[in-house]
Amino acid sequence: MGKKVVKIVGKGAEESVIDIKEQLGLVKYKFILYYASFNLDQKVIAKRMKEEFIEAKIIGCSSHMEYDSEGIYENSVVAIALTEDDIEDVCVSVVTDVKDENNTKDALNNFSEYFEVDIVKMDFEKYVGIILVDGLSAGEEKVMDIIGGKTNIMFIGGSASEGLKFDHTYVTAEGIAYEKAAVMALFKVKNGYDIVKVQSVDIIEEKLVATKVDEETRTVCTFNDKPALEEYADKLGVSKEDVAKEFFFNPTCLKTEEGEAYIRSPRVPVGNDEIAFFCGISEGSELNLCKVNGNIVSDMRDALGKYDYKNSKAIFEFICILRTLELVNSGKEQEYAKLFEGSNKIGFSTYGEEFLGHMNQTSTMLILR
Amino acid sequence: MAGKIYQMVQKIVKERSNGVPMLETSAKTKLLLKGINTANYNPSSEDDEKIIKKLEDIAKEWGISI
Repeated sequence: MGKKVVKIVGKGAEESVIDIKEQLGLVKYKFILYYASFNLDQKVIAKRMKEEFIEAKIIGCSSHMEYDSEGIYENSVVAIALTEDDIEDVCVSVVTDVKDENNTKDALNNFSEYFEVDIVKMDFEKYVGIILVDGLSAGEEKVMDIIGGKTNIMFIGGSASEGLKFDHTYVTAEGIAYEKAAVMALFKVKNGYDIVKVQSVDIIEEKLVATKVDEETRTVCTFNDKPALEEYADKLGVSKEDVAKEFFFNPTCLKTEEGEAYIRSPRVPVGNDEIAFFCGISEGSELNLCKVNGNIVSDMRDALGKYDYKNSKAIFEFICILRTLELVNSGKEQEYAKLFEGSNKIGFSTYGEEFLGHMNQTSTMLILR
Repeated sequence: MAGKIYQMVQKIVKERSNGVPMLETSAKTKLLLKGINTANYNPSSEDDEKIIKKLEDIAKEWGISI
C-alpha cells in the first residue's frame, strides 16, 4: 500500500511525476489532486501524471507555495490520492471558458449524466465538489454564481496562482493544462464531509455601500455616493495618498446574518477616485470595513476544534496567498502546519477562494470524513 | 407599497432550501453575494423596483416561479 499524500520538493516536472509514482506505488487510485509550483511546466506535469496514473481521474493547478500536514514548501508538488476506500465515486468536469455561462452549465450537466441524477436534485449530503479556477481569469464570480443558481451541491476550492507576476496560471484535468478555465471534481462521498471557512479579521461597524460599480473590472467607483477611494480613506481616517498601504490590513466584507465575513480585498487604486478589488462586488452591496487581526493560527485551531479532522480521509485546503505571506512574514508557517500533523492534507496558496461564491483573504477547506 | 421584497426573499429562500437550515443559510449567503442583504428586509420594508427586478431575475436564474 502506497502513501496517500506525497510531496516532492526542488525537482523538475518529469522527475517530480516519477517520484510521485514511486511514492504512491501501484495502488489503483480513483482520484488524484495535485498542486504544482508555478516554476514547473504545467503542461508536462498534467500529461505525465495522466500517463502514470491512467486509471485515476486527475485534476490540479499551478500554485505558489504548497502545503501538506508537515509544512509549507516552495518549488514543490504536493498530491493526494484517493481509493475506493475513501470515496464512493468521482466525476471530473471542465469549464473551458469561465466567461461563457453555457460552458459552466455543460460542465454541470456532465455530472448529472455521469451520476444519472439531475444536479438540480442531487442530495447535498451525499455529493460534494472541488473547484479550481484560473486565478487570472477574473471569472470566478460568474462560475460560482451559475453553480450556486443551478444546484445546492457545495463546491469548495480556490484560484490557481503563480509567483505574483500575474502572467499565467493553469488548471489541469485528465492530462491537459488549461487557461481561462475551471476544473471540477464531484465526489459521491462515503461518510459525509465538513466544510471549514476561516478568515482572520475583526469586523468594524463602519459601512460602505457600493453605490456605483463596474462589475466587469471588479472596480468600485463610489462608496456611499462619494468617490470610493476618498470614502474608504475617510472611514479609516487616513489620507487618500496613503490609503493603498492599508488595503491588505483593512479589507472589506459582506457580513451574513450569522456574522460570517465574506472578504473582498481592495487591490489597487484606479485613478484618483476608484478602487479595483481582487473580488467582484455587486452594485448596491453593503460592505463592512475589516481589520486583519493576525490570528491565523489560533483562528484555524479554533475552527478545526469542531471536527475529527485528523481521522478524516482527506483534507483539501485553499488558503489565500495573502494569508500564506502573513504566516511566512510572521514566522508562523510551521506552527500553522503543525495544526494538521498526522492528517491527510494538501493545500496551496490561492489567488482567491471559493465557497458559495468567490472571496479573498480566507481559507476554505473540504474535509472528507 | 411595502412588503413585496420581504415576501419575494422568503419565497426564494424557502423554495431553495426546503426548510433545511444549512441550505437556508447558503441561499441567503448566495443572495448576499449578489447584493441582496436579506437581513435588511421585513414585512414593512418599502418596495424598491430596482431590488424587485433583481430578485425576479435571481428567481428566474434559480428556476423559481414567484
